[in-house]
Amino acid sequence: MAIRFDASSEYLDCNVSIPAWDACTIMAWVYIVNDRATFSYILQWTNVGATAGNFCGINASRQLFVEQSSLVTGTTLSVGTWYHIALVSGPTNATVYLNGVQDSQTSSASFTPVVTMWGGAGGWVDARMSALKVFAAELTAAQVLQEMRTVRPSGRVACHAFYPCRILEYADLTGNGRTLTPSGSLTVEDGPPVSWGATPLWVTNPSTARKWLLGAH
Amino acid sequence: MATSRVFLTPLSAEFPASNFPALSVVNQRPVLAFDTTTAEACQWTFAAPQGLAGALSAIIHLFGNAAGTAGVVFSVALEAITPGDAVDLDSASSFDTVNTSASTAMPATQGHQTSFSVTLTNADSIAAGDYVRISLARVPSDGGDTFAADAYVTLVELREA
Repeated sequence: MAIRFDASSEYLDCNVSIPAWDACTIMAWVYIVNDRATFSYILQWTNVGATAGNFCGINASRQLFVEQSSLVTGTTLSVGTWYHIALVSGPTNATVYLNGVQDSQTSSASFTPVVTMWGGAGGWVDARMSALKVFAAELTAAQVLQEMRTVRPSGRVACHAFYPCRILEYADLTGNGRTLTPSGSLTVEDGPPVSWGATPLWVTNPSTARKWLLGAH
Repeated sequence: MATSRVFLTPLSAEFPASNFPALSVVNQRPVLAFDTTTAEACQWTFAAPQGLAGALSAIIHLFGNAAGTAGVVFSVALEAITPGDAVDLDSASSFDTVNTSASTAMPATQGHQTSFSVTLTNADSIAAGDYVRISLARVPSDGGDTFAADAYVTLVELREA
């Protein structure tokens, strides 16, 4: 499942314990439902008043962009397709990954982050989002690709916050208490084709198991 | 006596890029929501257990997103790869012919669970130690699938006779 944003000022944000500007990764699976043909923010973390920060979204032509010191566009996204999008910030660059591959990049600049946000307040996005994750680290391309494969964090890099967004639940499932705050009348719709990441449950050789249980050797 | 061998849960399912059941949560229960009109499928991966010798069947546990006793039809297919098999895993799949269930009536009361068995007659010559994928699909095009709502699969059990 996924959470749907379909109106102005519908978004999710967290203003608790935001990672540093130069070591932060924020990601989600994203599905554009309708083309608003205008700037629409997807992922961002910003300072007070959003006068500075790292931004990722689509422009009026649905080109995916990263914005920090400058705005750089990348791939044109299609309506009705699931994409994994990650916004990665380091001391040198802010980078957007699309389905695990670097898509656009701009130079970083320092700011004091106070909030992470999915969707936007003014430039809202008409989309579904699922498997929201935050890392207090500048993930590598390989790490982004690994996180893309499953809804739950892979465990290879310590996860700062995790919100599966299967239903209208906003708790941080890492247990770190970085709860999301919803804005607007959010709803739930079908989610991405991504495994949660569990494994099937096995029964080993039943005859051996029975012998063990009976104390046979 | 039949023996349970592998339990396949919604949280361990794998999905194609399109036409897949939604991985959802209903009353805190993970489910796979199979659509009433679009043929949707998902898969699981496992190794064929040691000691596997008998015939297999898949027991599908589910409940519906509506009341009524209309029927559902599902199909199950197996792909069993033995080391050395001439299957190019880079580019090909090698599923055996699907095994299709009879039409199973859903419970009259919404939310009540039922289950049914699909005999895996076509099991791709599965042998202990094989790398196996199993595909589960709803078949809305079958005349026996008349349940006009999502079918929520909660668990699939592989049982050996």
